[in-house]
Amino acid sequence: MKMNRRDFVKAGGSLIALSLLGNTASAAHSFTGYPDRFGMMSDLTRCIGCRRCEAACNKANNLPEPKTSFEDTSVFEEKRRPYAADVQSYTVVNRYKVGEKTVYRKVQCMHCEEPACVSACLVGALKKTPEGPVVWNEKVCIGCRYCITACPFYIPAFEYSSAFDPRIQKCFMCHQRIVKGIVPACAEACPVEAITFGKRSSLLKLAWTRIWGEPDRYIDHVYGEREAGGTGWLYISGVPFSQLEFPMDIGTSAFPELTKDFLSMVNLTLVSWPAVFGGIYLMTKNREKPLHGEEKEEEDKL
Amino acid sequence: METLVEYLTYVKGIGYLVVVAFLFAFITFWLLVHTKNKDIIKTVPVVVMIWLAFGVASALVSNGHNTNGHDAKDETALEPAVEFPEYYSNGSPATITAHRVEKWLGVNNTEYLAISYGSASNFHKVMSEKIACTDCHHNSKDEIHACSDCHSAPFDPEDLSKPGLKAAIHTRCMYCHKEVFGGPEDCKLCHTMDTSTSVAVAAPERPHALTWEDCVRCHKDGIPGGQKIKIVYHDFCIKCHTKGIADAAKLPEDHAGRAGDTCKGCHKPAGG
Repeated sequence: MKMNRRDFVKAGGSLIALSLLGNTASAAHSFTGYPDRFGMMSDLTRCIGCRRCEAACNKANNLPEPKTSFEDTSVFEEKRRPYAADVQSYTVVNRYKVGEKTVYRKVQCMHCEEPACVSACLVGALKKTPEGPVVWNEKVCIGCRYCITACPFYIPAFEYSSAFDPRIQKCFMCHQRIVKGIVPACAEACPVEAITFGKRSSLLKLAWTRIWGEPDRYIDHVYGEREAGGTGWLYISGVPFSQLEFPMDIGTSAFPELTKDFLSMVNLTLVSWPAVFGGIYLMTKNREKPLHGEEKEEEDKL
Repeated sequence: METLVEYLTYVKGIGYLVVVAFLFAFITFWLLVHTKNKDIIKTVPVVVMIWLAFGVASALVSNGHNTNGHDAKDETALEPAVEFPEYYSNGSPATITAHRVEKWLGVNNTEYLAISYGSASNFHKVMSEKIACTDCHHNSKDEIHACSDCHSAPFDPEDLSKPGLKAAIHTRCMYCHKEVFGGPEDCKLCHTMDTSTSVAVAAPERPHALTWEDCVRCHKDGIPGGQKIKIVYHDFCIKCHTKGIADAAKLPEDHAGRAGDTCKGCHKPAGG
């Protein structure tokens, strides 16, 4: 949790000004995201399931070599998750049969606009960067794995295979490449640009341009435009997303919104309760003292 | 990460320090309430001092974090401090070389080789019998442009809808040859791992072996307008090719009547 001056004043204010409940909490909603943040878009009608993105991701992130090669298509027989004990990858492509169509879906971190994992993190190890990716700070993480339970897309994974130096593993949108001006590895490798990299605002326009340009080819839905308050990774598809095992029940409000109002009160409670109960104790104690004194005086008189 | 305070505030955040300060103050407050001492007033300055000390310390630390540059961009958080280049490469020579090393791009389909390998005209001759020029050269209006004239930079921030060369060629072929792009198994129809016969690995044939010396054989007074050699012989092919200057081959018969500025639509002289 890094604080700038404004945040410090806010925290200090909550300590001192007990009477101004609620003022500090409302300010948190005004931020609508960094304007030039990057995102990615997957066009599921273009993807041919060649798994070049998986191979490029593996190479760019120095992940261990998989058991089977990236040419192997038998992996499509089961639905894989991006990171499991025996499959250490940040992204996977799964095959779905929808009617007569074969659709390939790339799975990875969605890089939410307001990520649930970031708000769940106790120590601020996860962070939504101004560039767009949600990144993880190894030095800060305490390994509580709250991010794993918080994520509506079941993406972050814990490196259980490492006993002494376990890491949180998920796609970081190649943040190390983006800051150097190189596109994320998967987008670079994709032979048909089924993965497009760019500013999220431009990608959203591109997504709707493609849908409106070929309404028969696409369904009228950009997954990630509003889901979970908006995600950095957008999907457009020719078949309903519900048939591709996209979570459809996550709503359109950002997950941190659900807890922000409540959690902002915790500090105030921490401050006010000792003061209130201390005050009550002080009052009752001061009332008892003179009584004892009077009794003693009365005893003396007797 | 020099002092304990800095370490604590970096790891746990400034809120941690504030909570610690508050707990200290609360313990003092508790002791104050429970003291049997009558002159309670003497301990009040101590409490105030502790409060102030922690307040000043946390204020200093938070200022320090803002000025040491690490957090300075939080102040101007609306503009990312990182400067991004205008052009995001997915076709840089470095990348292409890397791909070649990985042998990802070896094209070795005999049917494709038969029509494409060698001169541009062979591929065009075969394809033009099946489809119109503009089916592939989709945005060429008055003049036919080569793919790479438009599709050079992928993920162009100005126009994201324009794919890079790799994706442009794939998707354009894919538009008709759906059967070749049915799934990952089909990649091998064109791409094999054999680099010895790969189109992508082989150097493109140079239709022209012209050098600077060849140009000045005619242009004795230098090149007008200071143009680069490449552009000169792009635009004025016919000047040599109709008159046989510098042993240039004469135009084929079926090229009769074509204007001099359309050559480069099909013919791409390399080098220069």
